Amino acid sequence: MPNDPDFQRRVVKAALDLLNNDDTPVLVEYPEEAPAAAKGDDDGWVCPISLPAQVRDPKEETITEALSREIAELAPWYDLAVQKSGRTTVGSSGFDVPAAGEFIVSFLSDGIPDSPIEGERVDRVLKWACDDLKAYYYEAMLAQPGGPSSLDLDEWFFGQTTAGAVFFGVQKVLLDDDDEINQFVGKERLIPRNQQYWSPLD
Amino acid sequence: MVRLRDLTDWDRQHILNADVPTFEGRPWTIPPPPAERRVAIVTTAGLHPRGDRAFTPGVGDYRVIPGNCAADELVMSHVSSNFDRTGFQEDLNVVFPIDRLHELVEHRDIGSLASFHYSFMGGGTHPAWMRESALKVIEFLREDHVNTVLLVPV
Repeated sequence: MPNDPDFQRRVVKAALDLLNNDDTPVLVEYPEEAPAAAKGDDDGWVCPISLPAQVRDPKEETITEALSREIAELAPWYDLAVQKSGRTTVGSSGFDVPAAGEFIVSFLSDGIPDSPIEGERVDRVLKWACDDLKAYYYEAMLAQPGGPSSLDLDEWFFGQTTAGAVFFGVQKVLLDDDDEINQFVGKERLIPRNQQYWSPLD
Repeated sequence: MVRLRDLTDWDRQHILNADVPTFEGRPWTIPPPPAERRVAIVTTAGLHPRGDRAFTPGVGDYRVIPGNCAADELVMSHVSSNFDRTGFQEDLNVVFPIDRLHELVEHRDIGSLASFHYSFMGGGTHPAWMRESALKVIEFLREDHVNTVLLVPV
């Protein structure tokens, strides 16, 4: 349970107290239910930020431009999230977020590029960049009051954002490649199992 | 408490079909009194300091997290796209309860915290592949005078 230090402390204390037994390992059920989260209720969550439409008219705006604009529109909310929490989980790839977006979307325009990091396979760099981009979007949304559940965020990201559409596009590029590792990454590493149904390939 | 019935069918079957070891006997040791416990965290969340090497699937190695590592310096390179990162994004303590342990030290519920903590990554890595790394980590824990480990399987 995030941001509930009292509950967390009780759980950790209970785990450590198991060591006070003087005989045989113990496996017990923790009796306290996690406090009801003020999110993820049955009413469904609606993104409070008005993002541009996911599908753009290619005559007016390329998907690269649309992703760049989407990233920029989320920046104030991401900054607020970092300010509130004092931390960010973005930073696995070494790219800043706009650069991560440009790298990911380049798979759609230019095909699979050479790895930008010497000695690392490009699929690994892609995975880190995707994780960073997702973290940026999710942290921006988690700054909202009465925040969304993880499933809400997945549904929003993969179903409603340009970034999600880019992920599915990159997935197709990888699946169509001859390299078996790239195919595996496309199948398993980019899209959660419970979000594959958004795929235009289905 | 997460229950099997709350999981998706796929996740439930994945857990039920897990290749888990069986043990002969029930080894147990009497730990020191709480006030003498020096505690380290070993998490499987795929955490590491920003700039450290990302985890590689199937390798079973570990990363060191210094006890004074700031929360903002920890990132996650867990390989699974199905791994829910939102708890970590909201609060580091969900996967690495370092603040809670500091509080337990302040309240004298435990004695002290280790100088170093450790992170592994699951994500399809069989526990047996972690054995060699785990044995090394045990040596480091002993050198750090750790006598209690809080395992955080994520």
